[in-house]
Amino acid sequence: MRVLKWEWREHRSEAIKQGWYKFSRNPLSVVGLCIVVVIAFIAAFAPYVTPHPEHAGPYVDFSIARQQPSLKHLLGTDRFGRDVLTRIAFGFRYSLLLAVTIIVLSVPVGVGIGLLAGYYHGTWIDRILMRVTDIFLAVPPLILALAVTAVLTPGLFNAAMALSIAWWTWYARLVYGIAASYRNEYFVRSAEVLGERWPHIVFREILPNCISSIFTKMSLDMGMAILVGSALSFLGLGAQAPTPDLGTMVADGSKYLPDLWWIAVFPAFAIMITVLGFNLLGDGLRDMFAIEEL
Amino acid sequence: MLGFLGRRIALSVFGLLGLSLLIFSISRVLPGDPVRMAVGPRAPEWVAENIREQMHLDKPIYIQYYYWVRGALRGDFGYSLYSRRPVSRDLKEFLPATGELAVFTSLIIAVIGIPLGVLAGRYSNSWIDNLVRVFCYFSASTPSFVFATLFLLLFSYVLHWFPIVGRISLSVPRPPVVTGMITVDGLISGNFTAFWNTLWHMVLPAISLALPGMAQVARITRASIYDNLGKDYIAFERGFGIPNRLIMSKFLLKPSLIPPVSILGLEVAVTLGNAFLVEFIFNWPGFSRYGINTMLQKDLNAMSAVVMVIGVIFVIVNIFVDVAVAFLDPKIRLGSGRRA
Repeated sequence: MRVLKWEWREHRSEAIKQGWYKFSRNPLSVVGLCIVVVIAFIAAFAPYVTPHPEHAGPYVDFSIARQQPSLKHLLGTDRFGRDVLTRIAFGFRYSLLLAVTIIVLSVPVGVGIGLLAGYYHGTWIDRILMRVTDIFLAVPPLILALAVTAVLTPGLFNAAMALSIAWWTWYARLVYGIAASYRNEYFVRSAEVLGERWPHIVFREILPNCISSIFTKMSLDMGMAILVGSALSFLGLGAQAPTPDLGTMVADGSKYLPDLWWIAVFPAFAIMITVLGFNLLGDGLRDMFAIEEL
Repeated sequence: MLGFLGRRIALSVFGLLGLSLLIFSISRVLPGDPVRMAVGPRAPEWVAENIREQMHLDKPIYIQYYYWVRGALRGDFGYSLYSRRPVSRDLKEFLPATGELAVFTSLIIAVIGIPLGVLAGRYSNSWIDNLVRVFCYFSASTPSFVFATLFLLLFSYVLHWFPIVGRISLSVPRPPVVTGMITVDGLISGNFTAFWNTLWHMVLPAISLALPGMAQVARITRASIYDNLGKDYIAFERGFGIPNRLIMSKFLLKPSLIPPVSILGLEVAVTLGNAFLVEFIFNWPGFSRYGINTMLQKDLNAMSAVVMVIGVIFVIVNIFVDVAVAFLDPKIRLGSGRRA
């Protein structure tokens, strides 16, 4: 027993080593990983790494308002005198929080529906579930999310909920395709012959085969979710002032564009870099797992 | 082919019916009284009562749905509580502006995105491939509204190359309205100043809208060209002594276009969504800006109409995309291998 466990552990460390080798072959993936780690670090320790943590909230000091980037305020100050650098660091928190919430809300639903429809491929369960999915895909996700947020009170959590309503469909589609392709494999058939019930087959036999695709899609989606989430807050339907949200900051700054350019431009770059990091990381994972259907 | 098309259209109609149900339920769970919001707090109760009756809001919910669908099929979405006009009139006024912007955007996506991908796939791992890759990463990682904001700052405010906002300069006389698209109307009536002026106004919004889609299309074209270049039939043609240029144009391009064309539908969805933000930033008097305003104002009728119209456009575009793919892919056209 002990030997078995040891062997398994050895095997796992070997697998990790091989995975890392494949992953690090592409320098861009490593760059992506670094960006994500740095941003996650900044977000986690925002109060300790920023010069003016008190500027994250409702802070007003008009005597230092609208200052250009300088040594004292590296990225300038906004129209209330708040340090833009500090607010961007705190903005990462809300962007990551939003993306994680979207994924936590939408992945279980999408994966569950995709697995069921894929396992019952060709039956009425499949037809009903996938037709419902098609309905949600019949309208661009951002617009569906906008319609839902318009009905709810604007806020970070409601924005995440609205986006999840449109988001789960992608996971349903992805997992459905994989599950349907495994449905007639021998290991699924054997489990059926052994008399296993559907929860065992769906979650213990089919799901493990979808995990790498799901994780890769999640990594790519983190970037996408941050991107779309910032679009919602740009329109004022996401996090509300004085929350330092990157999209809200760009929207706020774009009102003062030619003169106070730094208020809008630096948060805009922050969004770009965050999304870029997650995209590079996701692409690296995709190459590592050799997934084609994403 | 006809059977394929028929099945496709039947599914779309079903999808739209579902969408109507979805949108209807979203618009009816609105907290607060839409009639009260429209008439204001000081209007007497009988006025609100009258409007409620006019809009069938006093009836049970399934009858409301029946009235709504019946109206929608006739192109009647009721009154907008926000602009206080029939929603259909608003749509007629705002759709053409978005239409010309969307057409221009799609042209940019196809005309620049596909050749970029072909070049990158043909000369893979060269400097041009790397350049295209970097470009794709940056375009795909940047929201359209960020591009819009940065372009506005750089090209309009700093360099003064392009106008700041709007659709046509005030000094330019507008052509008579035929289609509502100023570029088309300008060409019809021979008013070329208006045509060029509108085109000039369209450049920045269209590019901001096109960049993410362009990146996707270029990336997928590159992958498919690269894959097909390694296939046996290309090696065979090479061995047969067919000139490279002929292979590229005659044998490689058409099958390689199947994946990028099939994702065009998805790109249209992304573009329609992004148009909501880009029109807002450039103050483009289009359908999406109208849609945003109705959503921010919680204007039920107009909001459901906007989402429904977008759903219809999206479905129609997807049917066209499927037909185009069927045209490119004989496996689908001849009906032997229906794709799952």
